[in-house]
Amino acid sequence: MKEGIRVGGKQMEGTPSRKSVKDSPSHLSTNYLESTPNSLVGGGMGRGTPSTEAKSPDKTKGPLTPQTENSLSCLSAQIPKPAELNSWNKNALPKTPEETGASLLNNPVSGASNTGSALNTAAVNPSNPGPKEQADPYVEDISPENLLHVIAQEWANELNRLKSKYLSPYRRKKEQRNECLVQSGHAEIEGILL
Amino acid sequence: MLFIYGNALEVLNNPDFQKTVEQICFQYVRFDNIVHASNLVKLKKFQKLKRLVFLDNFLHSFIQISKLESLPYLSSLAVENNTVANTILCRTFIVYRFPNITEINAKAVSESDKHKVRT
Repeated sequence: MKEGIRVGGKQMEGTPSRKSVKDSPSHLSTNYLESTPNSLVGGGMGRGTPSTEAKSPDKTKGPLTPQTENSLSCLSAQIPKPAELNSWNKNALPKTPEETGASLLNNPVSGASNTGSALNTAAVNPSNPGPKEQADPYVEDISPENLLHVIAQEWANELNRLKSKYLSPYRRKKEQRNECLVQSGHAEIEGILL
Repeated sequence: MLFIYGNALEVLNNPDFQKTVEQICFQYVRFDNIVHASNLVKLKKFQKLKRLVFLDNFLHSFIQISKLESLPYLSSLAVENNTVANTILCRTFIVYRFPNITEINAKAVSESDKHKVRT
């Protein structure tokens, strides 16, 4: 592999964003489960607030049948205990900035994302990791060799697409510039240390 | 030498690179994207650019190559892993169209090449 400075880039599609983590069911309030340990959770699979039916069942319909009570007890048994939920939350939540910053210091190159234009400043000033690196714990660690393999694969797909397009009699006259299957990118410069 | 793979043409915006880089290698980048007007403007800002290398760029016609005429300081050109590189007249076309180029695919342009173009 060529020696030089690596230039990072854009976030790939499909990378989990912070918003998706907040929206995940693992962020359910523990207090809520403590307050309703044996009741059904309304609003779908682990989302929303408990329905009014769960809080105040309709007494006009009479007592529950034994089969219904049996099914309810099975469902309540599947609700995780608060201690279990806490452990889930710890695994699901992103690491603290201190932890992510420490990992970046150990391996400055791993902080660079796979595509884009930002220079990896962590290698220049390891004592002060940049705010972007502190704020974004979802940086993928991918080596340049693996990245080139990914780009080569994407290029093969793009080539197939282009060949089929140019052979097709129904091709459009003008193609959009952003119509390209190669979404990953990488740049290196050798011989110059900036 | 600056290596650009895939969707990373935005590094051409870097002013430090524009001042220092003498050679650029494009791989897995569509040639039409490279010579698009917006990117060609950026390439013109590379004051010391002398050599361009094209690998896997879907470069399939001589007309595409001629778009590089707007880079007057270019003295060396390399085209590999592209359809147009398999044609017999590729070298002749480059010699004819780019009189300032002195090296094509790591082989110096000879007087016989120039004579061949004239006739």
